[in-house]
Amino acid sequence: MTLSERWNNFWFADAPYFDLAVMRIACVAFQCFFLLDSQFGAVQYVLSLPADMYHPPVLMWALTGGTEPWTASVIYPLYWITVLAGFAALVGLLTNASMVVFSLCNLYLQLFIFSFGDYHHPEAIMVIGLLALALSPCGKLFSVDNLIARFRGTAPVGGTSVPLLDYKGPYAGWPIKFIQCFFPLMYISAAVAKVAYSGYSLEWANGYTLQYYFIQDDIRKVSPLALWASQWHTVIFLGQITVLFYQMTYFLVVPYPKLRWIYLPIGMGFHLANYLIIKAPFPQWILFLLVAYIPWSLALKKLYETRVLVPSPSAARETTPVEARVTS
Amino acid sequence: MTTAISGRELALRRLVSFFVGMVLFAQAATICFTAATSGKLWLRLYPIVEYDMYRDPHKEGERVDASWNLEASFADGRKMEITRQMLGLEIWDFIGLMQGILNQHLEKQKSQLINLVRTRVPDSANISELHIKSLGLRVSRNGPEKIDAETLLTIPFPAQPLAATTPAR
Repeated sequence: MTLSERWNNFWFADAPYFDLAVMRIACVAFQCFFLLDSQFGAVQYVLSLPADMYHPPVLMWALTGGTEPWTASVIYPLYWITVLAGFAALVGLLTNASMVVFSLCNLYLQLFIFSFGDYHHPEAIMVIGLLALALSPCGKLFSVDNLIARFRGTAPVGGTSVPLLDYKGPYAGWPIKFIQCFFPLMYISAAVAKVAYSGYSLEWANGYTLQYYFIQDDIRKVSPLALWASQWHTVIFLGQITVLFYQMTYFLVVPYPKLRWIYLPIGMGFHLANYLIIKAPFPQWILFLLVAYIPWSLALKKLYETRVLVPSPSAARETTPVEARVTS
Repeated sequence: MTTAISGRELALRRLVSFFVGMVLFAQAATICFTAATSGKLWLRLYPIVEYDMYRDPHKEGERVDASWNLEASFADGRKMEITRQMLGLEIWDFIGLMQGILNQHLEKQKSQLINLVRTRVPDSANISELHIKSLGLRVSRNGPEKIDAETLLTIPFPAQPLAATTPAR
C-alpha cells in the first residue's frame, strides 16, 4: 500500500454524518454563545485601548496588510456578520458558505482582539475546528439545507434507505480525526514547555510550582479555593506528576482508541478542576474532547440496541405477594 | 481506496489534505521550537500557538510575582496608589505592561504606561515619579507567607506628554 493510499484510507474512510452534525451543532452553538457573552465586551475593550498598543500577529498583518488597526466602524459590523453567519451555520442554512464566513470572521476577530497584548490559549482550537468544519459536509444532517433539498426533491432518490445513525460518507470523518490528532499535539506542547523551561529536567513537578500558581491566581483572579488548595504540598506534588504523565502520553489515544475511556475522564476532571480552583476556563477543550472522542452514533446505537431482562407476566405474578392477593 | 473518484472530489481531497497537513505540521513544529530553544513564539503565528501555560518552575521561598503595586509620587510629597482599574486595563494587560517594563526594560511600554497614567489618572499633571512595587508574598510548603514589599523600579514622570501618545479610537 502506497503512502498516498494509507493517507486516504486514514482520513477519508467512511464515517457517520451524525457525528459530524453533532460536532457542528455543538461547536457553532458554543461559539455563538461565546461571541454574545464575552467577545462583544472584548471588542469594546480593545477598541478603547490606545492604538500604540496594537501589535498584530503575522496572520493579522498579512490579512490587513498594514500596521494600523481597523476602526470601530468596521469591527462592529464584522462582529454582527459573524453572529448572523453563526446562527445560519447552526441551523444549517447554506451550511458550508455560512461556516466559511463564520470561521474566517471568528479568526479575524480573535486576531484583532489578540493584537492588543492580551492573548489566551483556549480559543485557538475553536478557530481551527471551525475552519475544518467549513471544509466538510457538516450540513448533511440536521440542517435547513437538508430540509430544502427534500422539499425540492433534489435529495438523492432511488438509493437505499439507511438508518440515520448508519448514514456514512468518506468526508464525514476527517474533521473529527483531525481534532483527535490535534489534541495530543496541544498536550505534548504543554508538557515539552514545562520540561524545556525547567532546563530539560522534571524540576517543574516539584509541588512548589503549582503552589506558586495557586497563590498567583488567587491574587490575579480572586480565587479563595486556589488559596486554600495552595497549602497541600504533597497532594499538589502528586497532581503535578500526574499532569506531566498525562500530557506526555496522551498521544497513545490515537493508535489505541480504547485508551480514550481512561484519558477522557481524567482530562475532563483536569480541566474542570482548573476552572474551579484557578479559574482557568477551557470550555472549548472540554467541548472538543466530548465531540471528537465519543463516537456518538455508535453510543446511541448501542444504547438503543441494549436489551434488558424483563420477568415474564406470569412469573411476576407468582413472585409479587400484593398481586397474588389481588388475583386470589 | 480503489474506487475511482471524480475531479471535484480529487480537488476536495487535495484541499483537505493540504489543510490537515499544514496545520498539524505547523503545530508539531512549534513543539520542536519549544524543545530546542525554550523561546516564545506563539503569539506571532496565532492560531498556531505554543501551549506553554504555567510552564515556569518555581521553588520554595520564591517571591510571588502575581501582580505589582503602582504608586505615584507628587511634586508636593503626596503619594497615591494607582490601580489597574484607574488605568482601564484588564488584569492580563496590566501584568503584561509591568512585566515588559520590569523584565525587558521596554521603553515603548514605559511610554505606554506614562501615557495611560497621564490620560486616565486624576491630577496626573502634578505627578513627579511612578514606583513599581512587588507584592509582599512568597511561596512556602504550607502556602503563602508574608514578606516585605520592595520598590523594583522608579520611573521619572515627564511634565510634557510623550510623542508616542495615540488617542483611543
